[in-house]
Amino acid sequence: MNSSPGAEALLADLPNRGFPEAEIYEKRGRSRRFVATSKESPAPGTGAEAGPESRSLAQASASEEGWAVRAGDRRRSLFHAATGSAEAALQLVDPSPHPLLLPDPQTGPLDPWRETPDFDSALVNETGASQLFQAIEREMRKELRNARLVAADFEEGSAESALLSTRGVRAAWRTRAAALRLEVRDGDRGCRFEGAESMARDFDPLALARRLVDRLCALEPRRAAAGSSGPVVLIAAPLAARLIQACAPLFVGPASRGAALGALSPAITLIDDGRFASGVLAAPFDGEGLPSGPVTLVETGRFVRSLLAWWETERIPVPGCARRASWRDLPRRAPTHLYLLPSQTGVAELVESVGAGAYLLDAEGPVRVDRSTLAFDVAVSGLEIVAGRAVAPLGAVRLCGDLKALLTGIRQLGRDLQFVPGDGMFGAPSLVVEGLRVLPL
Amino acid sequence: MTWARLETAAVARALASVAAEAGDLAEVYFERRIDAEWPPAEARCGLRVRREEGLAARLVRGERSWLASRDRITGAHLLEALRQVARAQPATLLEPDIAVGTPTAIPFAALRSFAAELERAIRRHHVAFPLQLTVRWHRRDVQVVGPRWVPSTEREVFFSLEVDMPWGRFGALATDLAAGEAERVARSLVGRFMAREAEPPHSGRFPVLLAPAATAVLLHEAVAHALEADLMGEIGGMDDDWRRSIGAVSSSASPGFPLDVLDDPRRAPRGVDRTTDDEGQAVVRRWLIRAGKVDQVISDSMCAARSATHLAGSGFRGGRHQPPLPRTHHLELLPGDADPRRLQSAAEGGLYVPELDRGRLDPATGEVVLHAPCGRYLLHGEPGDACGPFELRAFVPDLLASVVAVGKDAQAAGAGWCAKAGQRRAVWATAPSVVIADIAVFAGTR
Repeated sequence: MNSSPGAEALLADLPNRGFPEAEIYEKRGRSRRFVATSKESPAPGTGAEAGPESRSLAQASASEEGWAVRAGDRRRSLFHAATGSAEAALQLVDPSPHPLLLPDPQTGPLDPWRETPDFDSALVNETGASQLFQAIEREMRKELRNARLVAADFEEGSAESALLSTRGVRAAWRTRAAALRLEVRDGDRGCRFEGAESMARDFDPLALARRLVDRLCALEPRRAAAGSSGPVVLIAAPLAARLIQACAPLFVGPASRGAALGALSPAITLIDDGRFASGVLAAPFDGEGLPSGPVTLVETGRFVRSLLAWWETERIPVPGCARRASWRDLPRRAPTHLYLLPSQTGVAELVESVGAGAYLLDAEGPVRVDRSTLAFDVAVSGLEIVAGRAVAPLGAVRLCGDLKALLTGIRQLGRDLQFVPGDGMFGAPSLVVEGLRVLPL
Repeated sequence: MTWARLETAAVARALASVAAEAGDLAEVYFERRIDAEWPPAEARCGLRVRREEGLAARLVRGERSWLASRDRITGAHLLEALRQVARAQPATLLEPDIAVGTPTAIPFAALRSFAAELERAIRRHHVAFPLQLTVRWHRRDVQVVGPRWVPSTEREVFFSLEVDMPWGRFGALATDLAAGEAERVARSLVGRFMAREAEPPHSGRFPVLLAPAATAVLLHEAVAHALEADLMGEIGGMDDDWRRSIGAVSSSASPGFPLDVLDDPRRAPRGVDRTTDDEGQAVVRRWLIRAGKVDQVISDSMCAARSATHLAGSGFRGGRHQPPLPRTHHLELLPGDADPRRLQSAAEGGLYVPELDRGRLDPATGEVVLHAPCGRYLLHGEPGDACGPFELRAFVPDLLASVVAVGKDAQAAGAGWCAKAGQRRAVWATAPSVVIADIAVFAGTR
C-alpha cells in the first residue's frame, strides 16, 4: 500500500495553510472472528462428543479503513482522524497551543526485511475455525474423557499501513496476526488459554490440546499438603513469559526502575525487537515510520538502558518503538517483542537439573504485582518433581515472590522461547529460579 | 443533519431478502461518531478530533450469527456487507440511496475552558496540586433498520474527564460542563489529595456508607452485570454455582432493606437517554430487582429469542465492528427514606466511601470486587479522618442482602466506562446513598 493521492495532495498543501510540519498515516485492514460457545456438556460416561450442533457460533467480518493527520509547529498542533480515505480538501479546525514533534527519517545499516511469503493468503474461514475447535476438543478427550471446550474465540486479521511526513519520512508496511482464546473444563477444573501467531494456521490443535490437558491434570487436588516444593522451581515458558510481561514496566519508559534493581542474574539478557523474526507484531517500521530493530535492555545481568522512543532521547537515533494500535490512535512508546534470550539447554535437562522441586506449567490467573514493593502473586498449575522426574500434580497453588528476586534468582534458561500476548508480545524460555515460593492457593 | 439521504425502505427490503427464514433476526446498523479531545498541557500533540462513520449488517439464525461491518456508509458498501452475512449473492438486491450529512460542530470552547474552571474551583478549596486533565466530547448517532421496522435516529452526546495525579487517576462522565461540574470534580480531586498519604484501613469486616456516586458503580457491577442474560448462562458458559448464587437472591426475600433496582434507558440524563437500543428494539422500563427479589434480566434480541421470559430492548454495542450484547444503559435504585444522619449512624464505626473508581464481577463465582481510592472513618455519627485505598469484596447475594439503609438523596450521574467483552461504553445511573451492614474490606489493592 502506498500513500493515497489525497494524502500526498493534503501534505503538499498543509504548509500553505499554516502547518509547516505534518504527518499523514493511512491504514486499511480486514479481519474475521469466530466465537464459539458450548451449550451443554454431554452426560458423563455417555462418550458423546460435542459436535458443531452443540455450539453457538458467531462470526464477524470487518473491513476497516481510516487515516489520520498530525499537523502544526513547535507552538500549536492538532490531530484529525477519520474513516475512509485521506481528503485533500479537509477543513481543519484551529490547532491548540501544544507543540508538535515529528521524527526525522533514519538511515543506517538495517537487517533486510522479509515479509511472510504467503501474506496474501485467505483469512481463516468458518470451516477452518470449526475444524480447529473440534480438533482441540477431540484431542483433549483422548486423554480426559469429559474434557470440553466451553468457549473459543478465534480471530485473524491483516492490515496495510502507509505514512509520509513533511520531514521526509516515507514508509509502507503490512502486518498479519491471529489470536486464539480458549476456555476448557473437566469437571470442577478449568483453565484458559490465550495465544497469538502470525497466521491462523500456525495454531497446532494437538499441541494446544496436550498443553491444556497437562494443565487440567496438574490442577487435580493434591493428596499431600502443598507448599513443600523446595528452594528451586522450574517455570515453563508460558508462565515465564507472563512473568516477563509483569516485569516490563521496570524496563520501559524514562521513569522505569530497571537501573535501580542493581545486578541481575548473569544468565539473563533482555531484548525488545520490533522486527523479531516470525514475531506476531514484526514489522519493518514502527507507528511513526521509523525503522524497527532490536534493543538490548539487560545484557548478562547488567542493566543497559530502558526502552525509550526518539522523543525521549533528545533525537539520538534509536530503533522505532512507537505503537499505533489503529488510525484513531496517536503513537505511544511500547514494547513489541520483549523477551529473555534463550540458551541451548533442552527442557528435559532443566527438569533433571532441578532434582526436587516444582515444575510450574502456566498461569491460572493474572499476575498481581504491588508496584511499590514489586511483590507478585499468581495462581499456577504445576507438577511436583522428585529425583528429576515430574511425579504428581501440585493442585491449586500460587507462585509468590518479588520481581527483583525473580530477575536475580534465574539460574538456568531453556531453549524453548515462547511468547504470550499482552500490551505487546512477551517471551521467555523455561527458567530454573531460586528464591520464589509455591504456596497453597 | 446526520443523514443527508437514507432510503430506509430500500434498506429494509434488501435486509428482508437476507433474513429469509422463519425466526431470523436481522438488522442494519448505521453509525456516525465524533470524539473531540483537549489533551493535557504537556501532551506531544494538541487538539484531537476523530470522526467515524460506518455500517454493520447482522443476521442471527438459530445458534449462529453473522456480522459484517464497513468503515463507509454507501449503498454499495451496505450491499457488500449484506451479501457477506447472507453468504450468497442475492440477485435482486438494489443499491439504496444513502449519504451522510454535513459534519457536526464541536463545542471547542467548553473543551478549552474547562481546565481553567477546574483550576479555579480547586483553588477555592485553598489547595493546589499537580494534575493532567484530558477533556473529551463524544457524540454518537445511530440509525438501525430492521426488515420490518425503522426506529428513529438515536443520539448520545456527553463529555468525559480524565485526571492523572501523582496519587492516582480520576474519571467522570457528564452531559454538560456547566459551572457546577467543575466544583463537583474539584471536590473529588481535593478529597483524594487530602487522603494521598493516609494509611489504608485495616483489613476486616465493617459497615460502609456508599455515597450516590459509589452506589452507581456498585449497582453496575453487582446488579447489572450479574443480571445480564449472557453472563447468566442462558446462551453458554453455564455455571451451576453462579446460577445457585443468583437463585439465592431470587428465591428468598433479602433480610436487609428490600431494594428496587430498574434499568430504564429512557430516564437516563438528557442527552444520553434512549428510546431504542442498538438493535432498534424499544427500550423497556425493566425491574431488575423488585422488593429485594430478582424480577427481570437484561437481555438483547438474541437472548430474548431463546428464552420464554426475557424481553429484548437492552442490546447495546461498543461500535459497528462489534455485536450487540445484553447491557445496561441507565440503572436506577429507587430512593429510601433515610436522611444523612440515619445513614451515618447505621454505618457507625465503619467507612464512608465517596467514590469507587473501578470494580469487577467474576461471573464464574459471583464475587464482586470494588476499588475505593480513598475513604473516611465514620465515628460519632459523621465522617472523620481520611483513609487510603482499599477494596470491598463480597458475593452478590450476600452484598445485596447486607444493604440495611437507602438514602433519599438520589442523584443522576455517569456510572463510568464499562468494557464488557472489550466493548467500551459509557453507562449511567441514578442512585442514592446506601449502607452495607457488613462487607469484607482489604487494605490496598490485591
